[in-house]
Parts: sequence; C-alpha cells; structure tokens
Amino acid sequence: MPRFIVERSFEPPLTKEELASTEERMAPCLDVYDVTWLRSYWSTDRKRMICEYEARDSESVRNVQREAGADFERVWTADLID
Amino acid sequence: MHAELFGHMRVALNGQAVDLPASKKTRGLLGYLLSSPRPRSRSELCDLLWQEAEDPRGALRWSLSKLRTTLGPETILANRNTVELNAAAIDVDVAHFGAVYGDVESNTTDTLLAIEMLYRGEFLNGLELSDCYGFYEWCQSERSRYGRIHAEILDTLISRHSDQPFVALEYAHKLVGMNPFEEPAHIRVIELLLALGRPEDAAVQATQCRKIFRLELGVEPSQALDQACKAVPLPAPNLHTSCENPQTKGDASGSSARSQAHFIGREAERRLIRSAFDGSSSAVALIVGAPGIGKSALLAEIGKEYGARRLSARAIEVERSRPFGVWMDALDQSAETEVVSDIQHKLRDMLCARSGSSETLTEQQMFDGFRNHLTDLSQFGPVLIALDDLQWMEPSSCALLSYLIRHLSGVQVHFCLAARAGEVDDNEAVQTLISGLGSDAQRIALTGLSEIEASALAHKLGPATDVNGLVREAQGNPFYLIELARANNGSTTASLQDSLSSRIERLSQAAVSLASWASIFGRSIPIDIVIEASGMDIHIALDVIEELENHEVIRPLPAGSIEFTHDLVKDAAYERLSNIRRRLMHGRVAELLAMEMAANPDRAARILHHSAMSDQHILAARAAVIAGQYALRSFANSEASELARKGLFHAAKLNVGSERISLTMSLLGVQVLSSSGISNSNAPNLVSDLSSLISKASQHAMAEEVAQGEYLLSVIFQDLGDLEAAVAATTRAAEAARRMDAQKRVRQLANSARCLLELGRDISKATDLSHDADKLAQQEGISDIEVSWSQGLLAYWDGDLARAAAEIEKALELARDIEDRWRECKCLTWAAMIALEQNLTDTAIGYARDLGTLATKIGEGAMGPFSRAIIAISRQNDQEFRGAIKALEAADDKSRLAYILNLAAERQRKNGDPSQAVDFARKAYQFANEIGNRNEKAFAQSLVLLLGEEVENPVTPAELDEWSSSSQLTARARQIARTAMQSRREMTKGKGL
Repeated sequence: MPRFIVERSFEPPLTKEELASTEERMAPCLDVYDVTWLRSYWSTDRKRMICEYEARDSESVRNVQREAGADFERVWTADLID
Repeated sequence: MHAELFGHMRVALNGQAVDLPASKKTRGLLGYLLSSPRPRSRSELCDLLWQEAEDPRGALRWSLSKLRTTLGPETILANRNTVELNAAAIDVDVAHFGAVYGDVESNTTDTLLAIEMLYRGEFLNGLELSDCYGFYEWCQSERSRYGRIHAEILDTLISRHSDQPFVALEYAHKLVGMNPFEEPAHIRVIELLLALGRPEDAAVQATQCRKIFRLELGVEPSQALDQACKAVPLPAPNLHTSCENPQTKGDASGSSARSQAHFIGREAERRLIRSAFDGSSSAVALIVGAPGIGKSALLAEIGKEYGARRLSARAIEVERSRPFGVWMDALDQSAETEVVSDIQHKLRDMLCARSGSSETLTEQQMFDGFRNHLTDLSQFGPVLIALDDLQWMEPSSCALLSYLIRHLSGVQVHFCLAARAGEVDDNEAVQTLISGLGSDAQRIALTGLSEIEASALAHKLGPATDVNGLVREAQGNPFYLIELARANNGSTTASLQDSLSSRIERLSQAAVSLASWASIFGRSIPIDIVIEASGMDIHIALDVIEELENHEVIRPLPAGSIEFTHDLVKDAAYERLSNIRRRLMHGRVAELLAMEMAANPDRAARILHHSAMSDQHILAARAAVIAGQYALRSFANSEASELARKGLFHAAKLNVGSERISLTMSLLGVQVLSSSGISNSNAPNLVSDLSSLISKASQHAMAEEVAQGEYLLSVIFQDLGDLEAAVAATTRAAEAARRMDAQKRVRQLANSARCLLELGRDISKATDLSHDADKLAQQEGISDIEVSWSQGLLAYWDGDLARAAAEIEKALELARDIEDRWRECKCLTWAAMIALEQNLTDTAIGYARDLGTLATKIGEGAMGPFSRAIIAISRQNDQEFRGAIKALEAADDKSRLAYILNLAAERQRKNGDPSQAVDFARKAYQFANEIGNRNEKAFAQSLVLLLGEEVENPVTPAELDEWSSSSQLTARARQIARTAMQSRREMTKGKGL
C-alpha cells in the first residue's frame, strides 16, 4: 500500500496532553478509513511533526486528520529510500 | 497644506510647521484621514479609535473640533454621517508612494530618487495606538504596503546604480535596515562592499547577518551567504568588542558629568506647590506640560523634601490594563527605611493580597485600609504621593487616587501629579479625575525655561561651543537642551528626535542591540529577560548595561530592573527598529514572559500587549483571560472589561474549535462579571453572544463551558430583573453535565454511522446507529450535525433524494452555525452531488461554488478540484471537466474520482457517446477498485456491461448479482446493477446458453 507523509507545525508548541488527546480521537478514524499509522517524528522544540502512514489514497489520510481535528499543512505520497 | 506621514507625522500650512494636537487619537484620526482623502463614515471612525469609549461620537466630535482649530475650519468637511479632508488643498507624502504602486519600473530614476527621499521612517511612527485594535491593524497593514513599495523602489535604484556601487550601497543598507531577515539584502550589501574594495566591512556584514539569523530566527543563513563570503578574505571581527569603543567611552565621561547637573529654575512653580502644601491637610498640585519640559524633574525635586515618606511612580503607556499598576510600582520603588517600611509593606500586601483566593477584601475595605496606612505614615511627617505621566494611568489606580484625595482631608498627605498636556484627553478615567479636582488643586502649566534659566543650564552642561544657539534652538525645553548639548558636535540645528536618534546610534553595536530589546518593554524593565531575549552573553551584557548607564540611556531600578532615563529616549530606541523586527522582538518577549504566566497573573497584561504586537493570537487570548480574571479579583472592573474586549478580538482570529470556544467563554465571563451590578447597555449583545457560544459549546459537548455560559446568562438576566429567565438559565446550567453526556453519546453514535455510510461499509450497522442517535437526539432535544448528516446519507442510500437533500441542508446549517469548516465542506459536497443526481443543475452549481470558495480556506485537498468537476459536468464543459479530473487525480481522491467519472459516463451514455462512456466508466472502475469502493465498482462495471463491454478485473456476475439485491449498494448503484444483470440474463437466454 502507498505510504504518505503528513507535515504539521504548532504555534504555540504542542503539549504532550494535546498530542495524547489527538491520538485518542484519531485511533477509531484510522480503522474506519483503512489507514495505518507507521511512525512519527516530533521536533524537540515541539513545534513541528511529521507522521508516516499507509493508506489507499491521500484523501483518506486527510479525512482521518480532519475527522480527528488534527492540524496539518500537507500530505504527500512518499517512497522509502533504504 | 503639506503633510508627511512617513516617520513622525508632520503637517505644514503655507510652509509653516503646524503644532499638532497632543492627543494621540486625534493625531491618529488625522493620519487616517490624510492617508486616503475620501469620505469616511462617522461610525467607521468611532469603531477605529473609540470603540471602548462611553460616547464614541462625542469623542470624535471633540477630536474634529481640535483638528479644525489646528488646521483651519475649511480643512475638515463633515456632515451628520461622514467626515473627510478637503483633498484639493493637501499634498501628502504617501500619495506619491501610492502613485508608483505596481509600476515602479516605469518611473525615471530621478522620480524614484525623489520619492525615496520622502520615506523618513515607518508610516505614522509612534502612532500605532496599540490599544485601538482597529486602528492598529490598519496602521500595520499600511506599513506593510508602503514597506513593500519602498523595498521595490530601493531594489530598482540599486539595479539602476549597478555601475556606481557607492551609491547603490546606500540603498542596499536601507533595504537591510527595513528587513534584517532578508538574506538577499545582506548579500547585496556584501557584494557591493566587495566591489568597493572593502572586504573587512563585507566580513562584518556577513557576521552581522549570521548573528541576526541565529539569535532572532534560530536558523542559519543559506549557502548563498557562504558563496557571497567566499570573496571575503578576512575573518569577521567579534562584534561585541565594539562595545569597548574608546570614542563612546570618552563620551560617557562627559555625560556622567552632566548627570550631576543641579536642578535649575522653576522657582515660581516650586513656590506655588509649596504654598499649596503649606497647610496641615491634604492638597493636590497638578503639573501639566509638553514631553521633556521638566515635569518629572520638578516632581523629583519636590520629592526630595519628603525623604522616605513618599510614594512616587509613573504610569506606563503600554500597561494601561495592569490593575493598580502605578501604585504597585510606587510601592516597589519606594525607599526602604526602618520607620516607614512596615507601613509600606502593609500597603503592598494589601494590593497584592486582593488577588489571593483566600482574601475577601471588598474594594471599599481595601481603599479604607490604604487610607488608614497613609494616615499612620503621616504621623512621622508629611507624606508625598508623586505620580507622573497621569495621562496613561489605569482606571483602577485613578479610582484609588480619587478616593484618597477625597478621603484624606485633615491628613498631611500631599499629592503632586504630572501629566502631558493634551494627551490626558485620550484617557476618560483621568479626565474625570482631573475635572473632579475642581478648584481644590493647584494647577501649574509648565512652559519652557526662561532664557536666563536655559543659559544657566547650558553653561552647567559643559563647555558647549554655542550656548546662545543651544538655548535658541531648544526653545526653553530642558530635555531638548540637554540632548543638544550632549550631541556636543557644535551643531545646534538637529531636531529633538534626530538628536535622540543619533545619540542611540553613537553607542556600540551591542549597546544599541540591548537598548533596542529594552525598548520593547514598558517602564520597569526586567533586565534578566532583556538579556535572555537578546541572546547576549551575560558577561558582555553586563558591560553593555554599564555603557548604557554611563550614557544615561538607562538607569537602574530596585529588584533587578532598569528603566530608560526618559520615555523619549525609549521611543527613539524603539522607533528606529523596522516593523518586522519589532514584531519578532515582541513575539520573543511574549514567549519568555509567558513561561510563568499562570504563576504570575499580574504579568498577563504585559504578555497580552507583547503577543498582540506580534500577532500571536492564541497567546494573546490566553493572556487576556488570566489578566482579565486577575483584574476582576483586584476590583479593577474597567481594566477587566477592556482586557476582555481585547481578548475577544484575538480569540475571534483563532481557528474554530474547542480552545476558541473555551477562551471566548472565559472572556465573555470576564466581560459579564465586570459589568455586573451596574447598568449595562451592552446586555442584549452579551445575551446574544453567549447564546450562540453555548450552542457551539453544546455541539462540541463541552459541558463545563455550557454550564459556565448558562451561569453567565443567569447573571445578566438577574441584573436585568428578569428572574424567570435567570432561574431557567440556572436550571440549564445544573443540567449541562447530563445533557452534554447525552450530546456526546448522540455524537458518538451518529459519527460512527456517518463514517460507515460515507465509506459504504456495514450499512445495516450504520442504519441502526443512525436511528439510535436520531431517537436519543429527539428525546433530549439535541441538534447535531452528525445526526442530520447520517440521516441524509441514509436517505441517499435508500434513493430518497428529496429527504437526503433536506437532511444534508440541515447539517450544513449546523456546520455553518458552529463554523465547522470541514464538515461544512463535506455537506456542501453531498448537497452538490444530490442536486446533480436530481438534475437540479443550478442548485448543484451553487453548492459547488460555495464549496470551491470554502475549500481554499481549509487547506489542501480534493474538495476544490471536485467542485470544479461538478460545475464542469453541470455545464457540460468537456475541457474544464478534463482539467478538473487531472486536478482531482493530483489531489489523489480515488472515491470522488470514481464517482464523478461514473456520473460523466452515465451522461455520455445518455448523450449517445458509448465509447466515451465506456472510457470514463473503465477509469472509474479502476479508481474504485484501488480504493475498495464497492458502490462505484458495481456502478462502473454495470454501465460498461450495458454498453456491451467489459472492465479489467471485473467482479464475478454472481457477486454483482448478489450486491444488486442487497443493501450494500446505494439505490442508484443497485438500480443500474439490476438492469445490467437483467440485460446479461436476457442476452445469455437469447444465445440459448
């Protein structure tokens, strides 16, 4: 299945509590839209984040974000370079 | 008439400079009218400058009368509704800038040089009026606009002087000054310096650029800078060593001597004040005069006679919402002596303790306590209350001052107050206080020093080359005279602002930097935060502070704070900063102060100011809540109301969501409670705002906010005497938690149903969930987007398009009501699809247009291209349709691609173009297959079958047959699948198979 990267930024920085709450909202949406979360990177200043997903198309990934109220700038399809 | 709006506003009539009104709002009004001479409605002007005033129209009338007096009656053209300037008689500098806007290149170099010369500084420098948000926003946007034009002019001039690098360098330096965060501008300077054979200066410029980027942006410049620097042979010198500049040190010794100059003159004024204070009871002296005329010096001189028995402080322009700020500062800055310290501590504790939750002091008790302690202090001798810059004093401090003046008769407490002439008119609370003093106060209008006094001061200031010239130029203004003498370069023709500006520029680079950071603050400047914000090494910073002190730019205050020696010095340091830099610096300070905001609520008003100046709306709204609640606890209701008004402005700029609702509710709470118990003409608006917000909070199942909103409604209804409504609101508040539990449950059920229906999965489960949600919502009287939306999709699934359209329309309204833009987009998408299937072409286009507009606001995605596709298919515009499909493919929404291609295929089939229909349907099938959308797969395969063709990798006929008779497909897909299967059976039968 294609991989997708979601770019996010937070001003003011995202807190751990806010992240936990977004994760909680997102979990059921991932299942419904057939999207699999793979991993995320969170900058140490807590202002940026990139998340990697597997899904059938970009709009499914966007829909999951919007259903869960998770802010993002853009979603793009990615190839993994080993 | 000639007007200059760049830099400090200047107006000249027949070549003579006009003394503009001191009121900043009046000058702001003039700037606004001059910037674009056309009729402005009175309500627009009131909203812009007097939104918080009790009588905005009266304030506007007053300002217009001041302008008429200053500029002549024929200059202002006004009627009942509009105001404008008589444009025919006015030449304004910004108009020349506006004239080249968008077409700089076509102007001759001479024209551009002449226009560039007009840019003397930021548009309306010093007139931001940060408390008037409407005006502030306008001013900032005008500054950005003129900044862009100026940058374009400079760019053009640099290009046109490429063969004269020395000339081009001047413009390149100006470009860096305008926006120090533009790397290409730095690179241009470096290249020009290299072209001029000045590699050392180029190296300094490169270091400067790196430092700015690291410290203020937290990033490294790009490789382009390194490339430009390759030609720079020398290592960059350490910038900080420049603070050891022997030239500036030598200057410092001179200014140190000046600081010891004795107080000169003002004998008559001192006699008047002494005679007013001569009696045994309380007395008030009010000194009014222009900035720099010597009010503060006179206050300080009077204060000397009272030793430690004096409370003195100055109000701060940017901290007019800090409850009792001037009194807090007076207590913090008062001299500590054994005799009086106990009483001063008690006074301080009293001011601080009101905000503690355990204290239940009323305003009356606190004011009485203050009076009693001052009475006790007066037992040791007369007490002086010396308050400066009254024009900026907070309403709460005014109330306490007014109370003390009225209730300390018979007690030896003397009030010596000072204010800037004219600017008092911008502060209603102070205006009321002063007019209430009547004839009891000794009023002193401080004018310039006499020629003899000024000469004496000039002589004392040092061996100036031209004492008579200094005295003549300074026109009796002692501060101006001191600054001219300080310049010490024989020139006596610089304006006060120019000499202050050049004083700052003569400092070392590090000192200029630290002074710039300090100028971002108000009066009492926390030195630790200034150093941290500047990113300066502590050891270097300590040297720099010493340099600034030696040069009398700053002076120390108790408790690790500093202040500028004069507000005009602070203004000079601040106003030389570019607008972009100011914004970044305010942002940095706001972030640093905000780290301990919850523990220091008294700082929140400051944080609000800095975050507002840097457009950090979320921080500003949070700070406004904390500052507003702190003000309420301090009985500073006027400040609380003002803070709430500001906070609501910022909250309205946030994205819609639970945080915005929560902050807005808290801010409305501050607004309601600050006006509780007094006549409030704004009550109907508050009821309407609260009701709408409760509805939004309810949609988000925010029980606490709903309860808070209902409680606030009950407070308003009680104030209005509507007890029945108050009881009903209280009851709803009590039930909020239970209702919100029900709301959450309804939302959960309906949301699950809607998601399944959107994706076409487990339709029987979705049907049950949607019905359960609808039933519960009806029982509890709850409206919810998801309920209407899922009901709409269910009706669509069943082929009841009329009911589907009605339910989706209902959901759309609810989404609009709570400004849930994403759900609004989704509902618009469905509404357009349903209308299209109903052959309601115009309706479909209407929804699609709304969708297209909204889609651009919610960020990237497929909704924009989908709206284009709907419009194209409705108008049968083949070319536009293909473009929209390409865009939809780029956005990668396979479900919508499959749907719209199927729809197009169906229309082509009806139009008699089977080949095109098959082509579209095959593509639709491919997308549907990839996304696993059974509905569109079945539709595409059936349509291709009906045209006698096949799709790639089709589902088996048995599967298609089974789907066509189950509820797993929409009525639309079921119908075409049935027809296709029927047709296939007939064909098979015909072939005898």
